[in-house]
Amino acid sequence: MNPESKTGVAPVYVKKHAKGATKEAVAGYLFAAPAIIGFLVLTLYPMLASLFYSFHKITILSGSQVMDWIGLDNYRYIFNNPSSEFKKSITVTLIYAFVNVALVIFFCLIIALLLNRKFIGRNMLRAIFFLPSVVPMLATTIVWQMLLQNQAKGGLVNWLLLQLGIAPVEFLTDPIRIFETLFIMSLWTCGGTIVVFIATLQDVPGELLEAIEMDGGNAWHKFLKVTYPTIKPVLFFQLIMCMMTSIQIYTQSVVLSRNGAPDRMTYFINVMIYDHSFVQVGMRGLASAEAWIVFLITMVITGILFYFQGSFKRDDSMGKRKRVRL
Amino acid sequence: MKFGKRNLVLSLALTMAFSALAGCSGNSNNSGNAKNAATEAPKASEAAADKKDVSAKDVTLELLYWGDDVQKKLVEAAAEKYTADTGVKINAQVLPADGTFDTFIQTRLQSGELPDISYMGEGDIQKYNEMGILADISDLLKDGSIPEKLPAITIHSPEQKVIGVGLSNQMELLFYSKSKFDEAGVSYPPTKVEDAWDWDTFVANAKKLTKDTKGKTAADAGFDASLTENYGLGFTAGREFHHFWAANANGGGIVSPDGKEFQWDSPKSAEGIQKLADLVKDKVASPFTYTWSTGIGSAVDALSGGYAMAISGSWDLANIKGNEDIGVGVLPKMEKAVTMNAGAPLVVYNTSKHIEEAKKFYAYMVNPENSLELLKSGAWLPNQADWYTDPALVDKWTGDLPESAKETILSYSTTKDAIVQWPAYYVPAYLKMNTEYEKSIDQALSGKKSVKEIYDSIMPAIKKLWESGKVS
Repeated sequence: MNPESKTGVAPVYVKKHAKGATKEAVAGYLFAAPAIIGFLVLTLYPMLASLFYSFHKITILSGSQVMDWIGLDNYRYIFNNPSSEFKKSITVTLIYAFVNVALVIFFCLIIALLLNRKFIGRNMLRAIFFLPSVVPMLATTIVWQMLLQNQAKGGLVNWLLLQLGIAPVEFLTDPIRIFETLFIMSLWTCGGTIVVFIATLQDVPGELLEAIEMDGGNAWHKFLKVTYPTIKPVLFFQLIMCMMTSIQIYTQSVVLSRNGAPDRMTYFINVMIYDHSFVQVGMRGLASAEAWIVFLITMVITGILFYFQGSFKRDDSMGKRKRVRL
Repeated sequence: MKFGKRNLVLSLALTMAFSALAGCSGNSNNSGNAKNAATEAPKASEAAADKKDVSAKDVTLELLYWGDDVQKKLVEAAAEKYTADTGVKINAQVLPADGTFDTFIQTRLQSGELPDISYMGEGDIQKYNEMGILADISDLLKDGSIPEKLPAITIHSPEQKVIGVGLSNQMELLFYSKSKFDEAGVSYPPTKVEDAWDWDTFVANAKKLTKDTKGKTAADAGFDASLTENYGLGFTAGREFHHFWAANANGGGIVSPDGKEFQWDSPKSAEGIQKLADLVKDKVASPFTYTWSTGIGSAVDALSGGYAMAISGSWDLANIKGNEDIGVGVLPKMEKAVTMNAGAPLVVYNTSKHIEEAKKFYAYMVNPENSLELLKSGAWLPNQADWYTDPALVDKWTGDLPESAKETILSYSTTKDAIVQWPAYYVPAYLKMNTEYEKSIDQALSGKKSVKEIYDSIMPAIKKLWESGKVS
């Protein structure tokens, strides 16, 4: 029993404490209010509105928007109507996303490991790898287009190939080659991820690496036993972020081709949704339904990744950290 | 903590309610505005007529247009002159000439704040007409405020109201590099429709102009197509406008001019497009890219590179100024020698509060006299028939153009049935039909499949859309 409870001091203290906590909470909410309001007005409300729209056929007649309730027809159209391009669009998007994530994570990790070593010119190389990521994707895509287009139009890469007696490559017009082009561009702009990995690699305990070295372990052992367990959480975070940005690919398709050419292979899901929303007529409800299905697919993929999050937890020697609830 | 949670829930709920209400009120206002504006547009015009005491100086019209710096200067100068003459103020806003223009119009429509007048993409006009926001400008033509424009760029609604006339005329032309022709010993393409090369001559010449890395032409034995360095012909594959002429030239078409006959799926149409595709397959021609919205350089730039001929729109004439190496000729003949024309229209929105003033300004803007600098540059061609036939008027805009370009344009414009109208102008469902077409045609133009194969798979759906007679 608390001896102070009899003196009447404790209740006053509790009251004061509660008052302070309330003030603190109010201050906290006030600070968070802009973000909360922003989320509600600019994210949640449009999301709910688009869910509402997805059950309607939206047309404009005599200058005013007319919404006819059609229930699940938009969703039925997406999955059952042969004219729907959703399946092809989501397939090319997901193929791009999965391959791109694997390539980007692997490439960035390798480069970060190399740039983490001590050698002359390391900082310059770090800057070189980071620099392309600050250039807007639109500009990057235009530069790559100029490099890879037909030699007769001035494409430098194909011109060089021709000078070497090699047949030019249809980087921008072949359905498979266009994906290779997109992957190259993606790797070109992944300097941000490299920087994050380099920063994480600074956390790798040097004494453990030395210990492995003393035990006769090689670079692979060092990576597997020390480096990888340390950087796992960041790896997981980058995996999720890269997956999301890959699914949202848009600029490259719009700059490189029209209508998802060649053969609709760059008609990515965001391109299609934009097309249905703002270019085609009377398809805004359908575009909303498509956006919701993409949202659900992204949620499922993220969920699966989170399911495997356990394998990405940091299992360093400091043991598990307990989450403390205040 | 409990108190905090309650506060949080309360504030969240209030914010949601507020935002929802704001959203709802916005919607109702917008639709209300638009609806009112649409239904009350005639009333507004009547009121405007009645209230003559309202000074023109109180009227400000908003004009939305696209263009580069040159066009911006010219439009601003025209607007300033109009204000000086009439007192009506013009708020001219420029946007880039790409897909964002249509998106911007749609956004303004959603917010109930359409401009009074705007440029409009040829492919979009029937879409906005079906939405019921375009004013009928037939009265301007009837009362002579606008002299008769070229029929090919006078745009009618399905109910035969005039909903727009092209600010300019544009047509597909054959550009070529004189030095490459001289080097190959090939005579320049003709500039008269009646002299147009037949298809075999065109192909034979294109082959002579195609070279591999060892200097052999496609007409020589031992030519290695896989090492083609310079192509005889280039064209933009990503846009149907640049190859539809071939369907018509081969005796087919897309939709008959009266809109009553679907010709797109005819064997002759397919064969016309296939002839172009075969050139690509044989490595005699190559599409520039599949891009048009952010194309790198003009078709004329291609002639400075590895192309000897380029099929492109007349707007590229503005890019050949001062380039003595570039000439212009007529497109080759298949069954007949034709080209296809376009020309972005100007429209008046019936949501305008000053519809009469907007129509007067419209008449001023589509007068070629007020766009002389653009006409002289070659970026625009006149939208009136007499500007191609009256020598005094012809001299006004052709002085700076290369002689070959002048002859070619005048020949097309004065030869009967040499110009085919782009179906985007008169087929309501065109936008959707073309979307279906463009999904697949690149496979044929890049030689992966035959045009017939593609047509067999897509034409039933396209025909169905045409039969619907509706935009949406």
